[in-house]
Amino acid sequence: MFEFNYLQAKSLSEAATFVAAHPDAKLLAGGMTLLPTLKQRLAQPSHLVDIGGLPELRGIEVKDGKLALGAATRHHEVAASAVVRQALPALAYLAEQIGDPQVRNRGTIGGSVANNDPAADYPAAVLALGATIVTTRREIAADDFFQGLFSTALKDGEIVVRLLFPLPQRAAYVKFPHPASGYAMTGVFVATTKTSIRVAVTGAGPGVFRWSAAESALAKKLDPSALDGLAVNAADMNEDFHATREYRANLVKVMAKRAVQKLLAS
Amino acid sequence: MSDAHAANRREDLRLITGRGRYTADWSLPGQLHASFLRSDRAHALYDPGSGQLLTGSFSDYFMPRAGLIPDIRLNDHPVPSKTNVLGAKGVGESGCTASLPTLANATLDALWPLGIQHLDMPFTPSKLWHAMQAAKTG
Amino acid sequence: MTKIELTVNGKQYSREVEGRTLLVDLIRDQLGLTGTHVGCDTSQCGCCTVHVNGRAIKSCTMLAVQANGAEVVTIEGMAQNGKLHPVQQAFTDCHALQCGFCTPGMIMAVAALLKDNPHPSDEEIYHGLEGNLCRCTGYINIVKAVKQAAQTAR
Repeated sequence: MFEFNYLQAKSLSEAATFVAAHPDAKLLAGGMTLLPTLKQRLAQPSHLVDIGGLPELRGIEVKDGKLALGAATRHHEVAASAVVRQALPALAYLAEQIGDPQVRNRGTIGGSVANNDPAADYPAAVLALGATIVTTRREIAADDFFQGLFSTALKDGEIVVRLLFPLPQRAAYVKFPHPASGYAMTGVFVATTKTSIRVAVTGAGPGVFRWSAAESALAKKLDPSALDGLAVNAADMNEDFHATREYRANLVKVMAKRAVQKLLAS
Repeated sequence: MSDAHAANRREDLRLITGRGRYTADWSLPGQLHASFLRSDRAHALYDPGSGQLLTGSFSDYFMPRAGLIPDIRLNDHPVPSKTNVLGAKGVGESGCTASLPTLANATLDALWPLGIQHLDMPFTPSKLWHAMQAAKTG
Repeated sequence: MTKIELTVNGKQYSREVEGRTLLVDLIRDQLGLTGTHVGCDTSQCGCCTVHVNGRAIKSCTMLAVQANGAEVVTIEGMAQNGKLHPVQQAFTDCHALQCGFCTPGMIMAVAALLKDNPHPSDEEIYHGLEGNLCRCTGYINIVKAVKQAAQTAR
């Protein structure tokens, strides 16, 4: 890695002030994406501001019909939490599929969401559940948050504090993992409320997206067969040496059907 | 082969207590003059334009983990070699060479009813899917 | 440079490190505990697995400064008073190692798995070992060792 100055933030406001004043500083929580990036010298921050231990970023609780997760909550904590398993089991399941056990002991939901890797799992849940991203400056709706490849609505120096997930009626997540990296080659999160159904897809395109045609079809008939005549546009899918865009487009449909199946069985 | 209670190897004790000595664990003067590394992975993919290695880490190059092969059953099917009086064959890693055509034959056997009679490795999901789609239409 | 203090295998250490010093480099180079290995250096292989505050982590993907104030256990700290940890014993009994390079990380991962889940099913064992690669054994005997260790710990 290139050298940097390390600073352990003593408070959230100290961290926010510091990163606002130092545009080349980066935030560090779990480090499961940032540290490998630095090791490959793909970034050269002036400072790392460690917010992983801040009490303001911790906490798992259900309040006012929403599950609130502090941004620095580790994946294994979400997966193992009795609160999450009771209130939003699909989210606990999703967290359990991230990476591997060692990665889950360090990686955080805030880091995952702020990074917006096109193959990360959490963005699918955040988008499908219509979650709210609470930052040091404002509250951002999921639909406005994800803006494409590694890009979010976060401004420079803005820090994710908490995620608020409205509790769905039912929800399910299925993932076709990339055999090498374990990231989602395609992951589909489906959630129903009394009035709506949302389908969010990660891994297949340049960023997480809602499959509106599927949502409309499933609103009429909540069954995997409702998706039979549908297809996502292959031209919008990622292509790399692991899988072609046509394969990914097909995979989206297959996994969406499985997600609906799983939701119906839940 | 043996069951769970094989005779414990003498070197095990130092290896399971972190007292193995691998070349990375010491540093002696003049130890490294030059190192040559042939491609350490099959099907290493290079971008033909830039020469950049695309499968540069295990994030891109699949490494088997526990559970890929849940259990191994041993069957005995002795076929003596005809090239020497003992009928003896090589052991150790030479046995691995049979695994590749076995996998290829099994894959082709599964795909045969679709009219697919030739397919090269690697049998990635994407590659198999495309072969099956082409066979349906073609 | 930053001064950090941490406990490793029950012993307290105080060291000056750069921000970018990895925990695995601190452990190997500064503390001389070379049982923890660097395999892939890209967070895949798990050879570098140690316990930090009771959780298994990949020490190649953690800064030494992040371990300030932490309790770290490495492979060298698993045997107690000359007696092997049940996981270590199971590994040698079940021939779960050949070259031994993945073994320290594997043992640390297995010990952590069994702490969280004392009686894992086969699927839970495979899931629990997703962060550890072995190129020699084919994992069959490693899985047997996990089951033996689970039995022994009862």
